Amino acid sequence: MAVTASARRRSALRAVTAALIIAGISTGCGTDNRGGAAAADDGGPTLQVWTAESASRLQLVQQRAEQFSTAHPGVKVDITVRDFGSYPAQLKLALASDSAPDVVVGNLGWSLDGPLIKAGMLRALDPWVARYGWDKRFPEDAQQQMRFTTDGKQFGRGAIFGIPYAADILGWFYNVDKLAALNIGVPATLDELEAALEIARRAGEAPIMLGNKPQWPGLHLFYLVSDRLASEREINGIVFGDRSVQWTAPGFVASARKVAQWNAKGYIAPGANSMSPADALARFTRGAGVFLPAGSWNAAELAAAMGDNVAFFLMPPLRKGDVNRATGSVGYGWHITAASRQADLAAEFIDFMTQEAFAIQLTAGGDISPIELGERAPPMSSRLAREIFAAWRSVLANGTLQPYLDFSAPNAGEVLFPTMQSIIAGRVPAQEGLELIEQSRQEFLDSL
Amino acid sequence: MSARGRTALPYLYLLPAFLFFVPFVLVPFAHTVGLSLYHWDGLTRAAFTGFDNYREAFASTLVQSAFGHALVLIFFFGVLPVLLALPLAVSSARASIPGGNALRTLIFLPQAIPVVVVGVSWGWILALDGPLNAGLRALGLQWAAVDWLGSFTWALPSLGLVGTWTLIGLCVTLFFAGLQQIPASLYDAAAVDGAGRWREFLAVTFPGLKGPITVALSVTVIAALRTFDLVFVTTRGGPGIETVVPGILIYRRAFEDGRLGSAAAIAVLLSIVVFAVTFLINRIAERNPP
Amino acid sequence: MTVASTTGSRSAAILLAFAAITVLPIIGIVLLSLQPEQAQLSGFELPDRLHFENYARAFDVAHFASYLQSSLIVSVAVVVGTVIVSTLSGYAFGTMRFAGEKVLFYLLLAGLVIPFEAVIVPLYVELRAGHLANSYGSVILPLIAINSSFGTFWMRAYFRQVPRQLLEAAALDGAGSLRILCKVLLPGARPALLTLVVLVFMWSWNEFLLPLVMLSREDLRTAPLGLAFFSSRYTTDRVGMAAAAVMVALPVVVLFVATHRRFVHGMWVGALKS
Repeated sequence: MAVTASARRRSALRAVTAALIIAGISTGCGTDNRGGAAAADDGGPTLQVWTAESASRLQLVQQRAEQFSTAHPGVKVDITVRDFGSYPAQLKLALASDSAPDVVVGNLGWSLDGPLIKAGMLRALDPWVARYGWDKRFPEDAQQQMRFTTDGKQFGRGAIFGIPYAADILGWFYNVDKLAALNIGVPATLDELEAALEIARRAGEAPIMLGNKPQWPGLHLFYLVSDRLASEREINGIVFGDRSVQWTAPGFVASARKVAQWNAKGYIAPGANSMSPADALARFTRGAGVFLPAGSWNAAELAAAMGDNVAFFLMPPLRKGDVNRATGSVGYGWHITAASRQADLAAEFIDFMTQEAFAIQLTAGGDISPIELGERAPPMSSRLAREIFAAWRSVLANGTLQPYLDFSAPNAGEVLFPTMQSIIAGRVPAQEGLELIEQSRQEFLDSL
Repeated sequence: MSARGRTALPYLYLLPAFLFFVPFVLVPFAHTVGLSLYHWDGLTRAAFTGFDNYREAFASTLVQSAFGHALVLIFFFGVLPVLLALPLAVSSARASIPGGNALRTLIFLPQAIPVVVVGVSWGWILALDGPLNAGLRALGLQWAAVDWLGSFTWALPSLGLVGTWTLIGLCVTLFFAGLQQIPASLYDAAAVDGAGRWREFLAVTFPGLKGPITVALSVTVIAALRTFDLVFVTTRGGPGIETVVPGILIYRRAFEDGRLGSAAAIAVLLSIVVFAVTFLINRIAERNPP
Repeated sequence: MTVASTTGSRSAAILLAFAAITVLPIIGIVLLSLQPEQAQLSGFELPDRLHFENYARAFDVAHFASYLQSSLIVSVAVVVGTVIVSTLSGYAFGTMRFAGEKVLFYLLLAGLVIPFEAVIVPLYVELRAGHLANSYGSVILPLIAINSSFGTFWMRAYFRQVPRQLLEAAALDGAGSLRILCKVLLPGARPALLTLVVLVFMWSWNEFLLPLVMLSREDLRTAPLGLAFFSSRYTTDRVGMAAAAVMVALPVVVLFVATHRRFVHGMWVGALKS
């Protein structure tokens, strides 16, 4: 009895094992077949492309890449996408491997481009700049962010290494109906903004919707404040490696304290630290939160979900009527990798991906472009798109675009991001946290 | 005696295993130790720096916290499951419970589930608007509903309890198997001596379970110290640095920040801790023979 | 009698409670995976109907067909390699005596405690230099190596408990050592081998750090990696994430449930004896 039962069980097991092995072998063969077929049916080149884009921007990039394939018969574009948080490590691993991609998106300054250039993984684009006129495509100011010295030691000077395709600017999105219901006007000064936050809180609303799980969105909130409380010299000094400027400058300390204070007063929606930015955005579109401090890259998503119930303003000045200032960039660029064996094709791809036609597609959806479209701007579908476009134009016209402070050093994920999150949560005093951040920046500058 | 020296045969049988083990475990491990004495970005030339990486690691509050968090996880992954599993196994072994085997299999199930799946699932369960908090609110415990993984206070213990959830079944199964090995005559003798339940546990059950407890603690403690997947898919070390563990630092420094030497030094320190703790557990068990 | 039955029912209740705590989250995820795509729910709710299309979405759109296939290839290869290698070495350690036996055994055993984190950096550097990174081999070979520690330990324990007379009788009949292994020992080793197969399959399927570092090519990625990246890219698609999670766990869970009786028992009795 027992024997037969165990024998039956054993044979069942054998069947399971055999099935697994057979499945393994057959699927193994399947891969071979597929690989063989792909190589056989078109001998044309395939461009391996890496990006960390998501949502509507990713869709636009993918569409445009398909158009590239159509315009270049026989050329295939294979896009690998990683989430923003995993991207730097994963990109470095891919670049160092035998199957390095041809074209990759980086991130400005030391946040990603610098270490890659220093390691010789990206090409200076000089040979193609003149051919495609890339140096004339973008405004002079913006080109500073595209440059790096070829030894990878100085950001903002030297050769052009990356060609941007989508710009960004930080500001405040808000729920139009809620603002009206709370009887608040669009804040024209920092004080008015703080008053608005207080009114929202008293009304039982979550004043600020924030998804700070990856830790950089909190830093962006800090930038909104430091754009006003820190000086241009301080911000540029940090970013471009000026040792006479430190993170402990009064402007930064005051900014950090203010954001921590907002959190202590209950202005930041609960659950922010475990919420992804995409989650926060989704909640905001469903009516949670009055203000959403975030980047312009979210505009297409927001407008699609909320129509004209969402609008945008830049961080208001200390005094009414002061010139606007905002953190933003021409956007991280497309790069050609040193390992690519089809650099000319890669350059052709980059040119296609950054042409004015793409800028117009981007702008129509509510995103902004590093190309100054001026009167050639397409009709924009939403109020939000028009507001962001106007804000971007005015900041460029005033020359008041401020770089992101995390361009200043690599390994922001280890010190800058988590420390700022701790400061905002009130776990670390602002002064002490900023000293820690400055210390890590000094160590990096020493290592150059 | 006759086999010794007469033939190279045993070594031939060992050869395949060592052909894998030496190049893919032993040599890399030695290489890690060597690498920990260099500054290297993984691409350009490495620079010998002696014990610099270790000095940096000992001075760094981040590295200290990472190891501190690993110690906290030892409690949740090792100590707590053993403490919970002991009475569970003992009480269910003595009484014949209908379906007891099936229930124990169920408790073991999380062990079979990939840690990534466990992490992703618990990430949802522990969310501010997740089912756990929904349950607490339904019980009228609104005050207890917190943002588990986003809280500076609760994130680490929450991840720890996920570990408890995964590993308790392993301990129960181990202890249960161990209890079957204890001869019934020992219990009869204890009963004759008039031992109460507690005396019986101390005199017969616990000594009999020494082996399983040692195995359970070794396995779970190593799991705690090696935690990586769970943190990678849930908090990535946040909020702040509250859930940073050595594995996360090693991955980040080696593959994200291009500090391979520093990553290697942390890896060596981690290995030392693992060796020491495993050694200690087994030493204590040997010192106290049943 | 009454005392015994009340303690019996009390311990039954405790066991049941623990089983419930264990299973509840699993049921929750399975239920979530069957909700409509845009469901916003918190807590356990029954879906209006079973939305299996979430699985189709994860399988096709999110590349899980490819991820699962990669995992299967890796796990099967590691199981085959580990079983062969460990049987041979376990046979030597379990039945033969030779110089350096102890040292070699403990050396191999170190693989049980060396954390993967401690070899991952050079392993990556070396495999990259050997042009092996971004291939299944870069995951399979190290996994066979690290699993052969446990495998050897495990098979040695089995071979040691085989009665010596059996081996000696076979040797007297003139059987060579390989013949003894195949004809005399292995037929009886099925339970031990099965446990080893299941454990190594589970460990290989669940391995995360190694493929995370070695496999940057999308078409090579294993299922746990696929899930990790899916969940951080599509944070708002919780239903799809749950479906993907269930798919990633299903093969190992099925294997475990199908073999658990033999496996759980054999595993621990064996482990404790040795």
